[in-house]
Amino acid sequence: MSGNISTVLPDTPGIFSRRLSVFGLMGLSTLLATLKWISVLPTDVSVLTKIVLIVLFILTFAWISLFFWSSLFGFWTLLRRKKVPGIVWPESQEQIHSKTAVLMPVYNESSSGVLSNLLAIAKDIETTGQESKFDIFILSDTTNPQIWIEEEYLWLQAKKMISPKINLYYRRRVKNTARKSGNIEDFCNKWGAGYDFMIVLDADSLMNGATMVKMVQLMEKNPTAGIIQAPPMMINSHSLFSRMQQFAGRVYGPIVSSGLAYWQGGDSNYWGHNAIIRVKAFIDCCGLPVLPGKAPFGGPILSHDFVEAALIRRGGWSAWLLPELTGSYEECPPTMIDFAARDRRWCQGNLQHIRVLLSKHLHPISRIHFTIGIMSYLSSPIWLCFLLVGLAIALGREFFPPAYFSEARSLFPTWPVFDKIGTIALFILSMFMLIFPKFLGLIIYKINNRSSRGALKSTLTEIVLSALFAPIMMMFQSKFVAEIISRRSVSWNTQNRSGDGTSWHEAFRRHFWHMFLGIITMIVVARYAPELFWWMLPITSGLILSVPLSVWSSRISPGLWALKHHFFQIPEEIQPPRIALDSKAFEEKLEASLPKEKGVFLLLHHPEICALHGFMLPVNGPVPEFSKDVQDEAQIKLENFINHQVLPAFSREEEIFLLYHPEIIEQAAILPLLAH
Amino acid sequence: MVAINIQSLDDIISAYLKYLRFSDKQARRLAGDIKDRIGVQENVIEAVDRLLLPVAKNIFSDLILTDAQAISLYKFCFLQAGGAKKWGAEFFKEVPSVPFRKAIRQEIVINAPVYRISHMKVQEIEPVIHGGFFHKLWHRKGIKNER
Repeated sequence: MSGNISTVLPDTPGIFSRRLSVFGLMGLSTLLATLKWISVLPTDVSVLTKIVLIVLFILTFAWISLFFWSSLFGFWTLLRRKKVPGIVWPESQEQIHSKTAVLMPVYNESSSGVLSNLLAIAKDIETTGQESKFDIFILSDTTNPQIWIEEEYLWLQAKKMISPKINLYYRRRVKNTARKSGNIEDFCNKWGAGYDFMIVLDADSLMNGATMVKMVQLMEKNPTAGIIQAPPMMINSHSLFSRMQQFAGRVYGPIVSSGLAYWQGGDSNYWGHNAIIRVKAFIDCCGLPVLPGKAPFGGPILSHDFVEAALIRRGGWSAWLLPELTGSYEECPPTMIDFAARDRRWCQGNLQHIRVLLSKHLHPISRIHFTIGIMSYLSSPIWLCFLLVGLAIALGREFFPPAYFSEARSLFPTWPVFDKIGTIALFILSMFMLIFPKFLGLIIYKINNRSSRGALKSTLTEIVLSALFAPIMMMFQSKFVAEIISRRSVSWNTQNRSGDGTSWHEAFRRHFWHMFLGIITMIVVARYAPELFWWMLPITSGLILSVPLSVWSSRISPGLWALKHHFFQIPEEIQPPRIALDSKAFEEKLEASLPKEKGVFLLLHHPEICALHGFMLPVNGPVPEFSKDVQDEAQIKLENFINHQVLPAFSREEEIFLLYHPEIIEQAAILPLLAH
Repeated sequence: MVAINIQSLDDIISAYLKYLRFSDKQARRLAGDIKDRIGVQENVIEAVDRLLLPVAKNIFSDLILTDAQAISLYKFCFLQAGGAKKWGAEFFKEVPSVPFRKAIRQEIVINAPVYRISHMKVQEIEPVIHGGFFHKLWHRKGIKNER
């Protein structure tokens, strides 16, 4: 194993003073706020309660202040148009000499969406004239047999549309061991040695060709760079919820990314996609182990990206987040429930990093990345505990009035002291630290997009709506953390959706407890602690309105209404990036080419696809084993369909068995022709 | 396997050809010839497929393919290149003509490049303070207490 690499790799110039300023200010502001908090704590509570309140306050305030100071430095960097120091920028016209694989790992995604994005990327790479330096791989982990065949069919169509200079490859794994990280590892083991770099995408990723070429040039110019991450910008949103997230990402995202890049330098993180990786460095350093013990903390590493960044850094390579790299896009989950479903996965992956956090030889900044990831989810239950303890103290006063005279003889009563002004001041300070960076982001946004309309009203509306959504997300995340810690595995498939967003039934199912707790809290506070009523109102109202908020924000119609009235409008909505338009056009073409038959039936009716499928099978690894029952059942169903037109309801396993035996399908397709 | 338990050898070969988009007339004309070449076979379809193997291997001599892959790719390329309508009996010729060979090769698709094997070594993630530390601490305390 490589030793501690911070001694090998030169640090980014001036990085120490940058880190000292961000973390020093964070520490100082947390210290001062904590001292104030200690002074305003009620005097009539036990020492233990005080300690709990102080610890919870430190954790939440430090969390807020890190992002406040980071954003402030991000703002300052953007205002001065400073680039990240320590990285050599190439000339734009430089010819690239290396070979890059563009990897698209997929798992039961929309095949037309995936391939249309790749076609658009390929078309854009072609405009740079450097297309021969890129190969594209679709790395499928798809388990749905119908999507598998659709992927193969559309891959063939896409090959007819793509530049002949760009190779478009497709392989499907028999077993999706270790999910996405295993998928990438499989690529590295089989083909990695043939490439200098790999650009990893997500199914909804889009990247401009020029950006990809720039990333390759950067890798060539900076031979110690292991990973370069291009921050993705959200596009293609339609529902109100996703348009709001998209706007927030567009306006506040740059100062956040710039702030992170400011203090991370060459020890940055990897976000799992829209990044370029040096293949050799990845092969040498990033073979992920299976963590000992059972899930959720043991087993295969789920959120592999942070760990890979830490390992590549440990192995002597730098990792960079470069906000200067534009033309990198992704999509946002359309509804709050989809967003929460994604959070459920990320939450488990990030909490698992508790096991990696104290691993030997990691760079301290890698440990900070893990801590930030863990805190992104733990901050919710911490905030919830903070609220509950505060509420319990207020209720305690109602049920257990303070003892004005202690048991020790005294002439004067002991008045419970509660510094209301001090508490309000701290509350205002916290709100300021949360909201002020949003306005800084708005300033940068307005400087860069002078013609943009409705940015201020959108920011104000986003602040109000995100304040309403925040307690709902707090409840979701607290539940996720509790489930994960108690080792409960909960399925989070969002099947119950109507054509236009979340259905009322689904919303009630997911948010019933939020609504219920909101109502109960509001009643209890109004009855027993009325002085807290208005303070608690943003939280209780968010929870009480969770069902209608979730349904309303998931719909496309309010999203379109908002767009029409210049709410949450981003420049990419007025003038969509060419690559997004190309992708849409390709998607329409691909969908139009799709036959009506699916899975086995598509192969039955299209001998050329059946032949293609048979040709492609060996690359997909050895045929998995199927039980005798599955084999017999699949063949009987197929035979019944051929002989008696009984439409077979194949189980997933039966259909997959048939797909691994195209000769059976071929014979079944020949059989009906005997009659004629 | 799906049972094919009816009809004559000619019928099965004709059905096979029709599946590959040969017309009725073409299929009837070719069936007799193919029957003579394969002789009596238990699995007719497999036997006809085997007829295609030498020509497939010939055309794709530069590709590393299994027998099944070569036959599948040959069928695929034939169907893509205009199929029976354009090339007819050429499909079964042992020595393919130059234009046919060229047309077939133009349709070759490569779904993955040749392997360039590497091995990603599994990295060690050893905690600075692992469970053993606490175990030892606890264990030592236990021994001390026993004394």
